[in-house]
Amino acid sequence: MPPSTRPDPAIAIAVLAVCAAALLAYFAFAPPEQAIRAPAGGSSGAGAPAAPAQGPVSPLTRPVGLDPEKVRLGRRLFHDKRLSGDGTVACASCHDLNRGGMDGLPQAVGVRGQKGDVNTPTVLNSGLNFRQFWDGRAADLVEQAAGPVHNPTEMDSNWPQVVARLSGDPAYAAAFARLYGRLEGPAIQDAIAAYEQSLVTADAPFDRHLQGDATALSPAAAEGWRLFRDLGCVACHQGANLGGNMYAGLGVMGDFFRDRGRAPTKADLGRYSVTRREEDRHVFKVPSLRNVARTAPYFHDGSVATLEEAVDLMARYQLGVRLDPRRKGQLIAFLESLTGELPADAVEDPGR
Amino acid sequence: MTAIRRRVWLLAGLTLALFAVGAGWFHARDQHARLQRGAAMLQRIDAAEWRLNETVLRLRYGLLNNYDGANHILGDLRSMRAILGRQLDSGDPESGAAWGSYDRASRLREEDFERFKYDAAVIRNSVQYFANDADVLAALPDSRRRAALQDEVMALSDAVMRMALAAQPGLEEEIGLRMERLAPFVDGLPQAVAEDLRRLLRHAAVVRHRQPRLESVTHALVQSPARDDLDRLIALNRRQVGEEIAAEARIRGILVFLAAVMTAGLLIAATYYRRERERAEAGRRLVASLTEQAAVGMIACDRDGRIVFANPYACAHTGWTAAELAGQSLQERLHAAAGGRDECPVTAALRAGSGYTGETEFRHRDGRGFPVEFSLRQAAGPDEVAAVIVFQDITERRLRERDRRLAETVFRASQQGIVVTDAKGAIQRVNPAYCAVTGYAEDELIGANPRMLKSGQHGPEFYRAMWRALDETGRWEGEIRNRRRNGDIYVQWARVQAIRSDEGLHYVGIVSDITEHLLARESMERMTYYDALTHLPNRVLFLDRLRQSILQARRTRRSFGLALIDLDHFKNVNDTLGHPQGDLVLAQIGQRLAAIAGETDTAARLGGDEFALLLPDRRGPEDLARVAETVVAELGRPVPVNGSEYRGGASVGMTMYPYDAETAEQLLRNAEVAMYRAKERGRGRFQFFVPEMAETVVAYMRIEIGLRLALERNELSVHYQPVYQLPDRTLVGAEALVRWTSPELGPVPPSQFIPVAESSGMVASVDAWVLESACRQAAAWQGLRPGFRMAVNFSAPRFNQEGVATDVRQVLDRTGLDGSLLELEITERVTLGGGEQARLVMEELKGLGCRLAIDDFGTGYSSLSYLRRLPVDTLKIDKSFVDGLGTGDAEARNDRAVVAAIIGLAHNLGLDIVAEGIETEPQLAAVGEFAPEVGRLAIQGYLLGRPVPAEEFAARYLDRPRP
Repeated sequence: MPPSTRPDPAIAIAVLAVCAAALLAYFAFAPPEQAIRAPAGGSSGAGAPAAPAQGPVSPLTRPVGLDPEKVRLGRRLFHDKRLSGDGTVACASCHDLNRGGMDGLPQAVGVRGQKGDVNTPTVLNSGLNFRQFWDGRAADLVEQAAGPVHNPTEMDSNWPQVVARLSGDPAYAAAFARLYGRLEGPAIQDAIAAYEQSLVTADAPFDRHLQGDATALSPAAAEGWRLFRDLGCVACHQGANLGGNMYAGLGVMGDFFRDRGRAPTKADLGRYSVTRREEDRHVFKVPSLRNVARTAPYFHDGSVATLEEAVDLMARYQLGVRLDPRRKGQLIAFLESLTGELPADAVEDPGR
Repeated sequence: MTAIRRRVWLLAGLTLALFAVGAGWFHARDQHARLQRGAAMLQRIDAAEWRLNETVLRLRYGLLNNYDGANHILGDLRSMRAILGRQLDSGDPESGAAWGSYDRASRLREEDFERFKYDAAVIRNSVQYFANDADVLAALPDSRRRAALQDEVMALSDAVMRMALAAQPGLEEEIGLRMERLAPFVDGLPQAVAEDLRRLLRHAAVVRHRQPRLESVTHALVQSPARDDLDRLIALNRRQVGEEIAAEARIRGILVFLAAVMTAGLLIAATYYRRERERAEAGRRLVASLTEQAAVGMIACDRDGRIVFANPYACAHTGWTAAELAGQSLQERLHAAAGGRDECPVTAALRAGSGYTGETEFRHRDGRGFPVEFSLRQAAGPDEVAAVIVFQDITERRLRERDRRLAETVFRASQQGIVVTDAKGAIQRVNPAYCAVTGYAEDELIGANPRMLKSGQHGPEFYRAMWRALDETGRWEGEIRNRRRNGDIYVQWARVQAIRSDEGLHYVGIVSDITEHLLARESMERMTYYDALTHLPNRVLFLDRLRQSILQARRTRRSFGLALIDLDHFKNVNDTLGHPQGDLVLAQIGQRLAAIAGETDTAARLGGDEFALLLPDRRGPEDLARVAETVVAELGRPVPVNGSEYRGGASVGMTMYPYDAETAEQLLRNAEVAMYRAKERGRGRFQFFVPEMAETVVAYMRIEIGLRLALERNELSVHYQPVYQLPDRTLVGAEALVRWTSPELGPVPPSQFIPVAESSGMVASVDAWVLESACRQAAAWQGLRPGFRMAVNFSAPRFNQEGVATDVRQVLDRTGLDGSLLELEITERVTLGGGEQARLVMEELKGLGCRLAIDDFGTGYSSLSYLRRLPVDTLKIDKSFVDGLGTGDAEARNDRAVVAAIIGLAHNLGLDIVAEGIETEPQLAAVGEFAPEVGRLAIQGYLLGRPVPAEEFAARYLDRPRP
């Protein structure tokens, strides 16, 4: 017969009971408010200022709060041609960071040399756009990232295919496993979006001017900035991105498309493609003027080769004003002051 | 049991209820928290909505012209709306519907806001144009027409600006009217001006066209149904929160109540359970202690014969621990396949479902089987115990039985007779051998007393001695002559042992019939060593004893005598009366000689009419002469023979060892020579081998006669020899030595008269006189030298006298000497020969305070272990050893070794030492060398002081002037 040296279970039961009662009482009388936490702020657009700017234009600031690992992963994906169906096209193929974040062509060229419908928008500062694509069909960069991949004329691929290809790469597998748990489409989109959000070209001369540097702008550019406001350009090209935060019809003061003389294309429909409302025909997202000097050709169809011509057309069709060459030069000087610098590691080709 | 069960169910129910209510409460809390989160979110949304409205109005009125902030607010609203939607997801349909409505309204508003941005931007642009470029007519020459146009343009500009600020009824028509009025002028104007004017009109059209839309969009934005939907959501939320708080409070109340009830219940149950447990524990302890201490094995097993319990006895006797037995098959663990049975009877009984009692063999862990007595009972107790086996290891019992059987067999088969009696001597058991010896049947002996076998050949003293031995030592061994049933006497060697046991006192007698043996041995011995006629030792045995005596005397440096006796004229007897009569004479002569010889001397018939006496204890010729005279006298008496008598007498030849010869043959020859000399001198007399011995005898006689007179005439005196203590040679006392000066013989040295006194029996008187004189003298000298010690010699006869201690005490009383100042010197031989008696006397003397000294130590047999048992204080080293000291030859070295040994011995025994007979300086020096080793070494001798009369002693050693 083993000697009974165990502690008396009766005592244990009693102790447990008292503990349980105490615990229950604690919960019962604890103020319920303590259990509530403020919900996570639903902030969108990492670089956007939280407070409304007083002036029409606010200076660019580097985004904060981005996960550097995701940015690095996104950078690699952005330059990875395996995201395209035949492995010939990467995001960076069209959005060349060394060429102002676009390709310099009137329309993009996708896999198998296919020509796209629209002029490639720059990827620079794209995180500041209130919506993505010329017609605003994507709410943000995450949503946008899926677009070109699936577009038959652009990258002509799909996530299962891409995921299958990338899974063979141990570096990707490890990085996705660490950052997202698994390698899948949404994760790829998120990583690419994180990278794109980091592509902010702060510290342009104009930004320095806005921040109080009186010598940042040349006299011509300074005069251009005044004209930019006085002529009404700033009505649409406002905000930190000088554009990218509203829709506007092309041809407010004249019929651009009739004057252009070419048959309208699908791309010319603009926002109509999304809303199917007649009032949205030829309505486009107002493009950002940041780095505009480096993103020729211009307009949604890439039909305008030079900045001068673009300024002319804008004055005529959108503002209904006449520009003499002096003022035009001043405006262009101003527009050139909008060219900023990318972060040092943004363009670096990720090691492979 | 049922009460406990009921309580347990009650508690379980309570616990379940508690958990249910608790779960409900947690759910309510969760709901509450969700609602609270919803409320917080609604609050934020509400704030954002107000901010949006404010921003819209600021944008509308040009207070703000940057859409980033508004976009930001809308983005926030969008994500907060999604979160709110998720929070409301599981909510009630009412909230769901309200949220859906709000969501739809919000989406519409977003679209409105896009329109608003577009229109606001366009209108702002146009208004800007009017503000900057209204002076379109500046290029025209100043004229009335220009002025009229100017007025129109100004009016239009004014209307457009007013409309841009706020939509007023009629402005739209007014602008349209003024535009129509201006339009005709355009064509007549210079081209540049016309171009500007057309542009102006287009701007006006834009404002006119878009302003109403902007107004309505602004209105839609500010007055959005989203606002109402949001308010409805907020109200709904508030109501639900309130309801939840109330519900939660209710549940919380129940919960607290239940918790309290359950806690109380649990506490009561715990107390109850504890008490039950203690009671059960006490019961279990009792059972455990019973089974632990039971001197029987207890094993409980289940229905399959698997052991579920084994008590310590069972474990100890099977060699397994309780843990090793538990769960094991009884059959497998404990069954010994004894007798080829494959199934343990225990298992068999268990399987049969019956009780069983019997014996079988269990197997010990080490493989050996051991017998057990067991009983198996099918148990009616707990389910897991099917049967209880109680067993007892009966190995011991079996062994005891075997022993008993063996003992019984031995008892019965023993060649020796064995008889057992009770304390009173009544026979309890006998074995066949005993029956055979005694000739009685067993049933005749049982109950009888062995006394019935008495032969009458032993006196009552014999039996008393036997019983005394049995009472004192519990055993007796010896020869008994008994009588058989048929009357024959037989001799048995009996060993009787008293046995005390629980059954009282018994006596066991083991007897062997040695009659035959004894007879055979006796006859052999007699033929070999004894003369058949006289039963005296024959020549062979006599020679053997003579040689033994020589060896002994040589060892002890003592002398002894030999007498050869020849009957005078014995030939005549044989010739006249015949040999048979001669033999009778010889037999009687033999008896007379045996009587003379007693126990100490040996009488023998050497052959024919020749006899001999060996006298080992006679020391001097005087002694021998006395014996010889007795022999002559005794054998001179007539020997009656068959009516006549023989008056032959005998001639005796005496010789002494070692003076005359040192070998047995030579001694016998010498004695024969002396005997024939006696015959020559006329028969019926004795003759020493050495003629001078006769003179010695005469001198001895004279001394004996003189000594007798000397005691009466007071011719004896006492001299005192000083005794010194080393190392500083202080005088500690004196030895009293008797001196005799006879008027006839002159001074007789003690070496001559003491032996005479001893052998004539006067020494005791001499000693008594010396003791009294010495004691008186010592008492007298105490005044001069307090503590002065007197040593007095005590002879063997004196020592052996009855009442010697009393005499000594009386002497001490008379003389007034302290007993401790008297040292009595006894020879080794006295102590050794006296045995126990001597020791008792010495104890008595010690009781008087006297000191005891062993005189002449080293010459006798005293061994250390013997000395230790005697109450001796001092050893006096014999002069013969001291003599050898200081001379330097080989013998001296030997003596020195002896002295050293004696001193060391005495020192170890805590005895004082006196070295006596120191006569030379070298001797003194040699003795002195031992002094540092022992401490208490005294010396005496001629060198230090001769014995002198009392007056001279006092004068010389005690500083008292000679009188």
